[in-house]
Amino acid sequence: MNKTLYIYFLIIIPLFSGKAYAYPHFIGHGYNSCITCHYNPFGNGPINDYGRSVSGTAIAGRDFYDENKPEELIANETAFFLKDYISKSLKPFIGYRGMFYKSNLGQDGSKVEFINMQLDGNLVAKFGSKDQYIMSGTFGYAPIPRSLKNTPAGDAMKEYRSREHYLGIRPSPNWGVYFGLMDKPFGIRVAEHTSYSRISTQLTMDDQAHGALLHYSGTSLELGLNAFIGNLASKSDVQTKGFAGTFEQTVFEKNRIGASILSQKNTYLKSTALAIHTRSQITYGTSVLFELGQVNKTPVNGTTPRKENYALLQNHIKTKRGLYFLNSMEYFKNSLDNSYKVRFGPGLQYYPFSKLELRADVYNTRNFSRDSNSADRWDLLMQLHAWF
Amino acid sequence: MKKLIFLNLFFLSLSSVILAADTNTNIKKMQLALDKNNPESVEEIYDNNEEDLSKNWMALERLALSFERRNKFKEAVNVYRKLVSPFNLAAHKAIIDSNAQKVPENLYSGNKLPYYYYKLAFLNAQLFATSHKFVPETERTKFKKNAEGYLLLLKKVNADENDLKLVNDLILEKIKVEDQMAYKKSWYVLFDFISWQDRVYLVDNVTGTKSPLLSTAIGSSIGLGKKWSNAKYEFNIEGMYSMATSTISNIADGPTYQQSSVPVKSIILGPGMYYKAFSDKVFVGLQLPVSIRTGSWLAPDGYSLQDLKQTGAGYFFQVKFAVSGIFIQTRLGKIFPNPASHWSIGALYDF
Repeated sequence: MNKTLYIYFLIIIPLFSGKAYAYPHFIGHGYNSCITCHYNPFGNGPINDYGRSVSGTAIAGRDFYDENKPEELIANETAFFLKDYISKSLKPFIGYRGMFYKSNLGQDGSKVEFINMQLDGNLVAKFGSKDQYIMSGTFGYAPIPRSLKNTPAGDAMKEYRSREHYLGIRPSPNWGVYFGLMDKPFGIRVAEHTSYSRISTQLTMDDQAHGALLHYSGTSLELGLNAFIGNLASKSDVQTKGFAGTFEQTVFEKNRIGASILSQKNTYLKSTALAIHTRSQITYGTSVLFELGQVNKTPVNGTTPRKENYALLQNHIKTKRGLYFLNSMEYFKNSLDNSYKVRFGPGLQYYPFSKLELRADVYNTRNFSRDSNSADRWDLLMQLHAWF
Repeated sequence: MKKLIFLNLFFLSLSSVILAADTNTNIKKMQLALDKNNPESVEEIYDNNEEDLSKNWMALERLALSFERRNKFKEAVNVYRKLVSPFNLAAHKAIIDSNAQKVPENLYSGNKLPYYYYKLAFLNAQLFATSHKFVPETERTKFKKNAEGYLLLLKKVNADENDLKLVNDLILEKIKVEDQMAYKKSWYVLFDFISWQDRVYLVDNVTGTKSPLLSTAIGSSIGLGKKWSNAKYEFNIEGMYSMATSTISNIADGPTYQQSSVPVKSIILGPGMYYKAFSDKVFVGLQLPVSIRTGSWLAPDGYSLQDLKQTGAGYFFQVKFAVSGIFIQTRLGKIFPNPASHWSIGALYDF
């Protein structure tokens, strides 16, 4: 049992399943803050009307449109397909992600899978004279992480569940407070939930927690403080309680520097994470993200604590409208096994038109250890993401 | 006799009137062709009546316009030059000879020299701006000098500032573009974190059996390169010296063998290129390196190591972007016969 739980916490997030839809690299398009396009102030989840327009007229390509089609018409088409029949206060959103995954390329154990990572329905209700009240609820299919299958933790999970629901109040454009089930604000919320910066910090696709979030967004400063009590839908022993905080300061207009802290604890593990990060626009549409973090994990049962260090460098290059080249490099070190890993991940991201994203990534992972040696691992991931 | 002279003069003047009437008709036809956006007909009319029309400035102006509309700038220039000289030779010479910044108004108020000067400056600037590497340098220089010369004359005849700016900008823009497209040489230094894997064989000295070993190396590199770059491309040749430590072990059946922190050194040389299609700060490219590597792995008693020194060649896909005067560069590729990828991340500085 203890071993199972240890594995659960050591590899809490299985590779290659679940959702991922935060796009912090769009600082390259001049969007410093997530709240410009998302209802959730730290991104993730459904996008607002403005975000939908941006996705169609700045992010997605024009390859499949008539060259004379005005951008205004494209922007109009980014709306939910039943928008004319739904009140202005109600904003529905449907999202799907599926992935073709070929692991261990060129090796004997190579496997091919297609994974339905996400099928969500979401409804946002806005009300108040300035839309200062927001209710957002997301419900849908989310696969049981493969490392938890046939484990008590996995058995306790349901394949149809809510990953996010909250009530938000923004008494002024600068300040907001949110209550409900949300992601914890920490570091750069990159789309790849398999990145070490999200695995090590335990902030992947199923790590939302019920709590309260305070958000401030000023001219150049943005911060968030989150106190949480765990996901109340999960078993009580794995509900993580604690707090998280992050801030970002704009420097030289299109650059942001930030720092984050996260402290959380459940029946089995206490962890504290610290990170610093930068996000910068190199040129219009092209950005670079960098995060450096340390996570201290102390098992409550008194076994050896461990320290994990990670680094993430991700370059997002706009080659033409709608087509991006990604170049990621990650580092991860766990103090217990005296080894570290480096992962290279070149990839392509293509938005042929609004509401569709196609992505292909290759990951080359190499282990460095004084005690053992292993061949590189290569993985191919091809993803389809559609939303309405 | 007097009657004969009178009749002769009468027919002569009559034929002149008829001729003038024909010329005016042809000029009207030329204008009509221009109005109907049919500039080819203008030249046709001119060619059929060249003897008469070549003496008429109105016909020549229309001919020049027809050439302009068809982007036949050289032909248009020749026509405008005729309109300047011999049609306005005296005034033109006086303007050239004058040392004044602004010449007296009477030299150009009664003629269309300012208009012709502008056309000649603009068209020569256009010829210069649209010239390419297949246009002889002497001709390109001539276009530029002519444009600048007519600009000076334009200034003397009190030309509109916007006209002057337009021509000047055309010339400057071309100079700027040519400057950007010209390859400039420079040197750079680079510092990289680098990693690769080697295949080494453990050979049993008695049986001659070879067992494959895998070595994983990580270290740092310093390098020097020379590059030739313009606004779109960058070509380089560089050399790097890498110092790494490696862990080596058997990964298949055979004798158990493991060593760690073993020094490995390599020299990597080769040409490469970058493409700046997306931005002047983002570069994507390919490097074609050859490498010489030596490792200080030790063989246990009774065994020897094969491939302690190895030469190889391969490719790197590479990306770099500019941040505050330095470039951050990542490379991912393969050097054959190494069994795995070769990658690096580092910084470059141009000097």
